[in-house]
Amino acid sequence: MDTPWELFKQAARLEEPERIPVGLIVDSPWLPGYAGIDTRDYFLFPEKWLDINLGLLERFPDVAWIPGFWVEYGMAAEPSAFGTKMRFYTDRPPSIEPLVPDLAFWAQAKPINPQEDGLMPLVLRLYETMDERLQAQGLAIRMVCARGPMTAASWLVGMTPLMMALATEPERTSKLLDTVTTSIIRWLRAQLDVLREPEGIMLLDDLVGMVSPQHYEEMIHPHLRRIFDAFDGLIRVYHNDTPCPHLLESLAEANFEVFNFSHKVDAAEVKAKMGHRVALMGNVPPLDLGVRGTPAEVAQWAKECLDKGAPGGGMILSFGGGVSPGTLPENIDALVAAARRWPSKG
Amino acid sequence: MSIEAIYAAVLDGDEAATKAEVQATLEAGVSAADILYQGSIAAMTEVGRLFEEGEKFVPEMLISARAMKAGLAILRPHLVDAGIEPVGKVVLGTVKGDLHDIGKNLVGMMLEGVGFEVIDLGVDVTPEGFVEAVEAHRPDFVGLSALLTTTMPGMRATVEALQEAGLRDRVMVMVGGAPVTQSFAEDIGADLYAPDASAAAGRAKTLLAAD
Repeated sequence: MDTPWELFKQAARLEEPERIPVGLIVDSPWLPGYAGIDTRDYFLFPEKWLDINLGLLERFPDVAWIPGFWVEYGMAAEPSAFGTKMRFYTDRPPSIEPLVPDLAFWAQAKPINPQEDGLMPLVLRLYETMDERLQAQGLAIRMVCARGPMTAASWLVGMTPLMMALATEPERTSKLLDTVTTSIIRWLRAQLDVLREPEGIMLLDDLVGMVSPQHYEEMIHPHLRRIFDAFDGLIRVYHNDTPCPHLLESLAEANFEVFNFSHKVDAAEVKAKMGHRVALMGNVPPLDLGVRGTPAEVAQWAKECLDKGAPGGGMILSFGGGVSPGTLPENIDALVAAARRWPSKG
Repeated sequence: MSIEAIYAAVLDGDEAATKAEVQATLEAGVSAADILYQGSIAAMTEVGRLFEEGEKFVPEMLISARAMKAGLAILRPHLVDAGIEPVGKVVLGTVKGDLHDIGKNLVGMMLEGVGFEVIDLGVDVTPEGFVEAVEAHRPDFVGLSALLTTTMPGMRATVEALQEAGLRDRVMVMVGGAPVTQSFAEDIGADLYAPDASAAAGRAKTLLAAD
């Protein structure tokens, strides 16, 4: 029988695997709380990190964890390389304080060097050593991640100044996005280089969904496309859970294989607008159902989602976003059971 | 110079034109109240409608709001002189641990755009910070913003802090942000949830009128 990761890859290639894969984005907002430890310990002690991530495989053997064994400091790695201030907490990932809102300041900024800048060298070293450790158990780290150009740029100038600058300072904004895009490509490549058998990347950028089709086409699409083009041949996952039905056709041209999208967008609409070239990964509400729903409610939404998105292949059952803090394990079990049951006569 | 020109400048997000038109229209003898209601507020109401219709997006909304605020700064002393009161008062902030400002800013600007006075507490505001501001300013609403699922518990903590301070019955709580839902709002005992900034401003005005 195919492993969850093999099923995930088949669906990513728009095939119809023997059963619907369940793929869940998992990271530090959920895992420390799930394991009952201080978030700082999750970042600081590799043995705890490893045990918790291995424990996921044991507890949920039918789930493809995306990226799986993610070496991270919340969202801090990318902005730290540019010198931003980070605040760490006991019970949630770090927050990032924007550096300088003036885009003129960033016109002179150079792309980062992941081998030396911020937390990145530490992440790379951990990836290298943990991948070796996992090899002894017949496992591997398959996928690496980065935040996308809009999210990364927002840490540097602030979200509101960045959004306004799209409309008022397009040239400076493009320059900043270009610098950030080059940095993201370097960062992803550096992570891939320290792994033995990398097979994919994931890019996360929700802010893209907040802009008009015109701004997207002129100022963001070229950067997204440049990132995804740089990793041709790998499985490329794009996470953007801002509801953005106005951008779906354009996003389909950005050259990624899998789209993790909001539960606030109808899966049938995403299938119709993107399904010809992109696999769907969604879209059970992560908070209202994953955290506060019952297994029966999760199963019902999952079935409706699969009925809309799974016919013809290219469907990965997931939450419409990442696994939220407080997600109930039994609701993940309900997702797995719903995927097994589909297609259901019920 | 005309109210129509002010309306168009705000709608286009043209800050310089808005300031110039407001100044010139005032000097032509048009009342500050007419400029406010028929120019700025009408334009921001239209911006909100276009946002909800998917014809304007966050960047366009922000620059319209910036233009509106620039015009309002010129109008404010004239409005005070004329005895024009805001339709209500809102204390607004992003909850503890969350440094994201965009949702809060959008809501604040839209609230101003429909005539509210907004006291912006900024980001990373503790429950105690909200309590102190409610005590000090006596607003009609306290608005809590969060962009992250990890900081949403700060909303519940703030509602509880208002309760413990004996202020909960004196102020309506509005919540919003990307991960926030109606169900969550009801769960923590908030009075108002809206999926976006424009809806938040409209619902606040409606709720206040009904109160």
